[in-house]
Amino acid sequence: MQSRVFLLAIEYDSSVKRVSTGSTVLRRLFVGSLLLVSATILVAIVAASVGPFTVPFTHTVSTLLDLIGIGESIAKPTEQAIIQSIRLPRIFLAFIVGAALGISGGIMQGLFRNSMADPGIIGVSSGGATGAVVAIASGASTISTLFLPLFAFIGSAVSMIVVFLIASAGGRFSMATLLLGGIAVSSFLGAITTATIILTDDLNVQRQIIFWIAGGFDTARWESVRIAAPIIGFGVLIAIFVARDLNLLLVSEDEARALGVRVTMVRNTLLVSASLITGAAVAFSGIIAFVGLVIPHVVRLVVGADHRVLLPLSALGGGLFLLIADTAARVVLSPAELRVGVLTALIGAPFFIFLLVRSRARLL
Amino acid sequence: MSRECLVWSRQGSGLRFIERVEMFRFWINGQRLRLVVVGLVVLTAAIVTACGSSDDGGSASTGAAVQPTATATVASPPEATATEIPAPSESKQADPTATAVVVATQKSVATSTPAATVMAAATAEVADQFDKTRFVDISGIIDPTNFGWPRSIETSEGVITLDSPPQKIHSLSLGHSEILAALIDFDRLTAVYSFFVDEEQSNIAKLSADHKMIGFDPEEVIALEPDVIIASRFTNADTVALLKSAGIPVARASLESTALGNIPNILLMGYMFGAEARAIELADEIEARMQFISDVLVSDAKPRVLSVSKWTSAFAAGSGTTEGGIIEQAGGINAAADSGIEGHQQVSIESIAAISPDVIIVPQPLDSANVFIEELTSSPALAEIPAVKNGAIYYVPPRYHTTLSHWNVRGIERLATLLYPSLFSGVIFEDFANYGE
Repeated sequence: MQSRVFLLAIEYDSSVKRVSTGSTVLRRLFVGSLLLVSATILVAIVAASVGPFTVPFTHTVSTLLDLIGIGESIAKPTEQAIIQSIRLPRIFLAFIVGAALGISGGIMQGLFRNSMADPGIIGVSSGGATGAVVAIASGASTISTLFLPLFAFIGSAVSMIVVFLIASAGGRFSMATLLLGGIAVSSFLGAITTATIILTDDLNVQRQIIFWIAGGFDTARWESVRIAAPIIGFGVLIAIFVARDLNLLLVSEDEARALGVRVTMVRNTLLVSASLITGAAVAFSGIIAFVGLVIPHVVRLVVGADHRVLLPLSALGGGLFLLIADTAARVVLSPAELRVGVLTALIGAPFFIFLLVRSRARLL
Repeated sequence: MSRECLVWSRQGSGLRFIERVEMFRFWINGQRLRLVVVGLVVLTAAIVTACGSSDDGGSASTGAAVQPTATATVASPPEATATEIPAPSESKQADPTATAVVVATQKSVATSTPAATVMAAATAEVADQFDKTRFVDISGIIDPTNFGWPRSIETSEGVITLDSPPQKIHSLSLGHSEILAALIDFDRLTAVYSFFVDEEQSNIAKLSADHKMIGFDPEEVIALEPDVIIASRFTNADTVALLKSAGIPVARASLESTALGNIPNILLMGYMFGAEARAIELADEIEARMQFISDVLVSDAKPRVLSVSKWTSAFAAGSGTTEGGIIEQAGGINAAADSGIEGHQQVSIESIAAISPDVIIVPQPLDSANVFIEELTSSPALAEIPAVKNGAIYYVPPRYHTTLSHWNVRGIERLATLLYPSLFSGVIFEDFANYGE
């Protein structure tokens, strides 16, 4: 494991050196975005037309066109209801969450200069899980369907603040302390979650916690999309806005400072935005591993490590990947479903290994 | 933890959730105890070596403190013993036209009143008063002609020999505890677990409420010094190994998801604990109840019934599940199994629309069931399915629909009444009785 981390770090550094000129960046960003957006639209149309309930493709397309004001749907009311109230919110939520995890992973890996960093590295995911456990165990989740994501989001935010306070102890902010503090807080919160599962006498609480932690989009509704989208969208925009400064930070904090970058503000802005969008993603989907860790690596292997390209394409790539995984999760065992986390690893790991091996072969 | 739970949720086939939680808890605690046991063994060995003693050491160091009444003889581990479902006994004709048929609630067996002081001789006397031929083909009974003590049984955990009717019995599963509650004085059970007192999940909640309760640490089981332990097929192998290493005989008995499938297990339990007559009585009652249902059910047009529960995500009961078996035995078609679902599988609202059942049953606690039923009835995607259009979405008590004991017969009876109200008009089914009630 250690040698693999080392190899990835070396490769990571070599990629950083391939910082591109402005026109190259724009070209890569444009081509990459065009390809990923086109693929996402195609996959979304396919995802809207497949599922356990058979809806003819023409009915799906006419319903989708009707929604954007072109023509009139020829689908039956039940078919329209399934497309509009079940499949579409799920498609949007999967894409949004995938985008959040993808870009957060890219930011965290950049900030920590660590290939193994994932969006939950500073305790955000564990905080979200603990918040969800509190909502379920206290019964708040049965009062309103919004309480579970709300508590999860609050849990993420609180854990992020605690880890920040730990890293700032003594008046000097330390990234190393932030990382270690995150690991410690994650372990602590994970222990609380596990203890709640084991110690509670209420079997219903145990089941709800277990299935929530497993992650998934089967409960996606338009309300979820309406709440998650602005938070994640805002965070993504901020992250992309300061991506150039992240490149400079990676060279050296002193050099970045000399070039006029407000290092502390940029770093904190990126950390807070990455944590909040991860918190929002976890709140509505549970914990979905692998996406945030691997998607930025895949994108980096293809387009290089310039964060002006890497971050937007990680968002688009993460969204597309999770959309594909969730669609597959819906249909492979139809009418039953797989948990999406199973498929993210099943689909993503071999693809990642392929890219990794190909990339090593090239370097050698 | 989560991986373990995911495996549970997918394997599903008849697995009761509380059994799985129990397995996990024992596993967790088992690891700790294993270290303690190893430490004790090493310490004992060191002391013995230091003193130059020729004592046996090993597991005897733990077992010596227990001194169970029955002795365990571990034979070479055979294949898991499969119990055969016996052919239903000759038809006990129920009159389907009767306006009020009460399926008899069996009272306690007058001939056997096991108490802590019952001796082998007394029990042997009672042993003559039942049909011994019922035990001939029961898997696990080594000598079906021997109804005296000692007697031996063989399960996948090996052969155990019981010198006298065990008075301190520990059951590791709710299913076996429910069966034992029907066969013997509940005081012979050494302790219960917290989920036994959950009235929504357990059919022995009231009995358990006043009983000694323990946690999930195997140490607590060993401290009870039971004569014998009954494990289920879901009990973790490490836990069983730990308990056996403490010198306590362990029998791993089956738990089946069908009403008639559990009869051999019930008879085996009766044989093990000297409650043969009561076991036969319970087996007869189960057969009679099932015969009555099948006599009344003459309809060819079977409704497609979906059993689905929601625990953050929704899970349907497909083929091989207790709930699915109940649906089929109650005269319905298991819609989930009919759609290709095996075991308990996650489903979405769209999946339910695709399955399009005539009836939906929700076997989960009432509060959460009501929330889920509201979600089902208000979903526009389900507006056209027959179950919603006909208002045929019902809460059913989970203690009848998820149990692996004979109490699932009550689930069959209630569901049959729900599916065929006219056929069962005026029929009143009673609950099973526990021993001594």
